[in-house]
Amino acid sequence: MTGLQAALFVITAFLLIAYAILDGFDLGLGVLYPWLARNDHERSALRGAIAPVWDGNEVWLIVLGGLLFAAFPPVYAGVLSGFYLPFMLVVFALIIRAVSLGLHNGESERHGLRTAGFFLGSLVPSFFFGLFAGNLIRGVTLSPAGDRTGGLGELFSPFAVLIGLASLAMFANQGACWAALKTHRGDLHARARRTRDVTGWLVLALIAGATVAAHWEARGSMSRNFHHGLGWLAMFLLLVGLAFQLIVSRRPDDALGHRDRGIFVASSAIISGLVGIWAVGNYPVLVPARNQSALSLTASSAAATRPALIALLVMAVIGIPLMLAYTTVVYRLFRGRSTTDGGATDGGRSQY
Amino acid sequence: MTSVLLSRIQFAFTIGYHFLYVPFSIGLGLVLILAERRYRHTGADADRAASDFWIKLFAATFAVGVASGITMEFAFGTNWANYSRFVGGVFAVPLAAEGIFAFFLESSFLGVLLLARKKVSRRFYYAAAWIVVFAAMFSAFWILAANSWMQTPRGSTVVGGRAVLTNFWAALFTPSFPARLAHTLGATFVAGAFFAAGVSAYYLLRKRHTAFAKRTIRWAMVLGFLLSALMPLLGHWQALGIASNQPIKLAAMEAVYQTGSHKSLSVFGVVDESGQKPIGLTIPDGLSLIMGLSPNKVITGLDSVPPADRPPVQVVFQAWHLMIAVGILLVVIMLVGLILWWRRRLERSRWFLRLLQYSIPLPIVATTLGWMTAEIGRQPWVVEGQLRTTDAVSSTVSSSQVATTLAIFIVLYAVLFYFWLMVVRRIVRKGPDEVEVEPKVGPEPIVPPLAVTAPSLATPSMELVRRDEWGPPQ
Repeated sequence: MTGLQAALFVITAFLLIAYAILDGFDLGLGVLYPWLARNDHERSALRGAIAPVWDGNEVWLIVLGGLLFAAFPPVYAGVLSGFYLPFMLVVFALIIRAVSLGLHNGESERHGLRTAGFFLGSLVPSFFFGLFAGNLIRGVTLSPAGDRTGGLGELFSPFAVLIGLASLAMFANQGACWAALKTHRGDLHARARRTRDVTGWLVLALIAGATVAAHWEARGSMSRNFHHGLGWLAMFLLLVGLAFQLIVSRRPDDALGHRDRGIFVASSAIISGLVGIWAVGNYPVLVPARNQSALSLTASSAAATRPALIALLVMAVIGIPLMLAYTTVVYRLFRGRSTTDGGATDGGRSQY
Repeated sequence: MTSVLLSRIQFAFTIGYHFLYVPFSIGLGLVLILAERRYRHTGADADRAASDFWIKLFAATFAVGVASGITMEFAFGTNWANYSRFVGGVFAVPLAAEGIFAFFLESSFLGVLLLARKKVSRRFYYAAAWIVVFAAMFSAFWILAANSWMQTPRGSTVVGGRAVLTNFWAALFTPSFPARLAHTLGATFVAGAFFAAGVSAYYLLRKRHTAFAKRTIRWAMVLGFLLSALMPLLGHWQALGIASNQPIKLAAMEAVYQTGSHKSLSVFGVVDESGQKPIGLTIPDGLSLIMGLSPNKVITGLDSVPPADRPPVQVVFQAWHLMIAVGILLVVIMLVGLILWWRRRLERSRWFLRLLQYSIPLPIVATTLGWMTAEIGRQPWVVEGQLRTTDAVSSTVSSSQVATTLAIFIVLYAVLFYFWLMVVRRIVRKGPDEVEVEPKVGPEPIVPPLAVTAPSLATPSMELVRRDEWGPPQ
């Protein structure tokens, strides 16, 4: 295990956290979309709340894929081919979603079809990403060549399904928090806040369940968090985020929604905490093998060679600040509450 | 069918589909920059409407390009796991760079382009347009670098059954890369020019948005002619590289079976695979002349490698010669258009406008044929000389699984194509927002700025007077 390999592991975890926070809110918003938005105006407002950014958010996933492919080729190959059909389902969902969001002119026709596309296209990845995570926490059956040989029963183990549901709830919570943050006072805003209260408790319940289940299912790896500073940080973020959201959102005097931003940050902290706990608990393993731990794909056994890792590290050191800078520019430009499809204060003319 | 064949069909179908949209979106990017540049200088509402119009078309095309691109980022892992394990540490480095350096730039500033016209200064907006288009080309840079490494691997060695990066810059700038990049980007610009010219022809035929259409068709034809005339030169540059780096591919392209000099160049025809020669119209000594400027230039034939290392000849030969034929047709179309315009007969030549309108897909036909030449021509290797395509697939994915996903892809992509077509048709039918009559230039009386009339009433009558006179400036 070299420092370079460890650095690439950390970068991978960072990209995963960024992806889960950012695409988490627009995926979650899609999951809640049919219930949150009841008319054209509300649908338009919700789409407007993510219109300028959802595509950029998804790029974090693309970059994560590219980085895994280059830095840990056997992980990229083993996970994607091992989860072939469910992963393809996620790809189809993301395609349908991208088209439902990107290919329309802000007109209300065929909104039923588009709503269905946006909803299903968000629901499937939100659940399956969690299911994959559950499998990677629990461990999969690996052949010596690094192929996953386990069947459907292993894929849909109760623990993995539980993590899938937790991920769905976590993204839905993130989506509700974003919807509350980006909408003006009114029915839609009130609905988003009520939803946020429900999803917050749902997240708490599922995480509690997952924590108990992990005691038997996660090969004892998660207790590693008690022996590392970053593990304590991740647990702190999770607990503080949960406590903040559940306590603050219950206080009745926030008629103006001044705390929506704080609650969104809390929800993001929950996500970073959970992904962080997973990363610290598994470190340095990327894909644990259930059948024989020596077959596990780790940051050292799966890593590409030094020149490739150096190239990737240099690219990440230059590129990640740039990525954060563009993201900041766009989020600042579209800050404030959304009224229509056309972003926060575009006056309603839309080209999206 | 085997899972190798099915995975090849799936990859070919999904990337071929993806590349229907990519040339249009890069080409339209160039068009929208030209439009936005004009608006930046004139500040006229009509010019802003024109720019908005191209941005809408760009966005619709880009959306499907992005959606179908998601598949590609993961296709190597899902269907080509053994390939991914073999090449990851080399091939995927530019792929990661594409995401980090190009996709973020592109997606962030596309949001600005689509939704922030009124939020930012005209200058920032113009910069955002440049950034989006630059990022699209930068993305092409990285992905073509990765593809070029597969064709002409450099900067890496094979250690323990894995390709290992030894020199980043050598692996990035492989011998086949510069010509491939120039040829591919040139083709996307041609696609953009044909799109712009075809849409303008549509309006001229229907006498709608004529001021916009006349302005656009003129530069689209000039650009389209110059670029499509440049393409054979870029293609020749690339072919010279193929001759020295991938001689077997060249041999398949021209059906050269026996190594030797005095090789003929086919214009069109078929390959007689049992007789091991091309049949059809050929130029004697042509291939030797064009490759070495001498009839004595020796061309490496397919006989220099065992049959198992040869690509399928007929399909490569046909794709290559059809690409050239379509490419020449593109030059001829634009040249005819320019001559008609020069002779002030473009608007009356309805046959030509109709031809131009239906020529919009032609550049894409050429890019697809060229891509087939490049990719089928290097079979049976997925990484030239290092890894065979048959050894590259995922061993855990069964043929029935690939057949299932392939069927879904075909249905899903057909539906997407239909939606894209409907959206593009609606945008084109509506046309750029008509805001006001263009101020006249040149010797004609200048319309006073206050005389802004409803365009639907004013434009046609003015056009009636000028129609026969429209052409090059005196």
